[in-house]
Amino acid sequence: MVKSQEGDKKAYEELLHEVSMFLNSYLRPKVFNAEFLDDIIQEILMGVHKSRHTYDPKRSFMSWLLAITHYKLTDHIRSINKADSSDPLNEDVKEHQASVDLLMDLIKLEDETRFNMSIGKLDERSKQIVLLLKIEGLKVSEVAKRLNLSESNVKVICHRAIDVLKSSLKDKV
Amino acid sequence: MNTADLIKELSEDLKPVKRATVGVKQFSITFFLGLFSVTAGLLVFGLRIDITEALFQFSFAIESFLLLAIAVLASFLSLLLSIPGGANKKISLSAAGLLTLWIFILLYQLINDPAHEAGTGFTCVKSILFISIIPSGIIFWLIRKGAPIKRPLLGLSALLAGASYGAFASQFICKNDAPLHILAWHTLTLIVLMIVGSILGRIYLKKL
Repeated sequence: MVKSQEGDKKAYEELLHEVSMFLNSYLRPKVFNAEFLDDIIQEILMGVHKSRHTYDPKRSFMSWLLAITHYKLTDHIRSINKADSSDPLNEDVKEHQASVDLLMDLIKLEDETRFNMSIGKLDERSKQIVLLLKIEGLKVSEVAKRLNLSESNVKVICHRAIDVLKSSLKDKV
Repeated sequence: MNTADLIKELSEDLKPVKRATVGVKQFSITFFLGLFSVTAGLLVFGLRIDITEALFQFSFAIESFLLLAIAVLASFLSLLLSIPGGANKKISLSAAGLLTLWIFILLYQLINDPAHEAGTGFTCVKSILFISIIPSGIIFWLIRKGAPIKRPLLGLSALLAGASYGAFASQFICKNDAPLHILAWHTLTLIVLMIVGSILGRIYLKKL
């Protein structure tokens, strides 16, 4: 770290590799999602890079690194929870998706024709979005890209379509 | 971008840096500027007329000592908080403990002698605010190149340091030693400044 502060690029690269290996084993028991783990490790490495001037060789490198690690981990978890909970549509869509799953399971047992009739009541765009999200299992971002819409637009249309489907299927079931 | 690519990019981007240290020099700056600010406050607002009597009162001595100690500890804590892993629990608890002790002493005096009134204290608020500007400002200036993790706590302790110097000086300016007056005008101002500091820390200190 001292050499890195002096501008030694090779030493810095070695240090970052060792830090990332350490973080991988340290954070793996705490973060189950491999994608999140990668994100957090990269965030921490960025934090180390931005704050490398604050490292004092008289102090422990590990305590300095762990302070940054815990901060970034907490911050990352907080931002994920905020993204999940602050958008009411996310909750509604999840709830509605769960109901649609259930209804579709019921429909598989009952009458596929009725389901096709209900989905036929939706306009073309809504139908396309529901089928892409639910049948093909695409992500919201992928559907938005394919249909040239914003992600929030996709969510709103899906939300309304599920409402229509739900009430339509309830009448029929 | 994967981690290996990021590491390569960060290494290529590497430039030598000047270490941001927290040591005796930085602490001395905050301490001497704090005392300078107290002196300036005394010159602007004037010494209380009964200062010679007050100096020999035990409660005056204890309260003044506590406020100066809080100011010193809070300044040091602010400097430590500007680096990751720099937070020192002993210093945080000591500062919090002394602040609690000061408030406790005032409440104890109030319970035992409830006849006093709060009176007006706008001059006290003004003097605390005036005197707190330089010490708090210098702390924010010294930590500008740090990488704070606990930004609200850092902001809180920076303004606590300034406000404590202000409250310390007010002991020599304000002749009303009634506990209710001190609680209403000195202590409350200090607490409000701590809250403001916490908000300023969150908003203005750069995120790591």
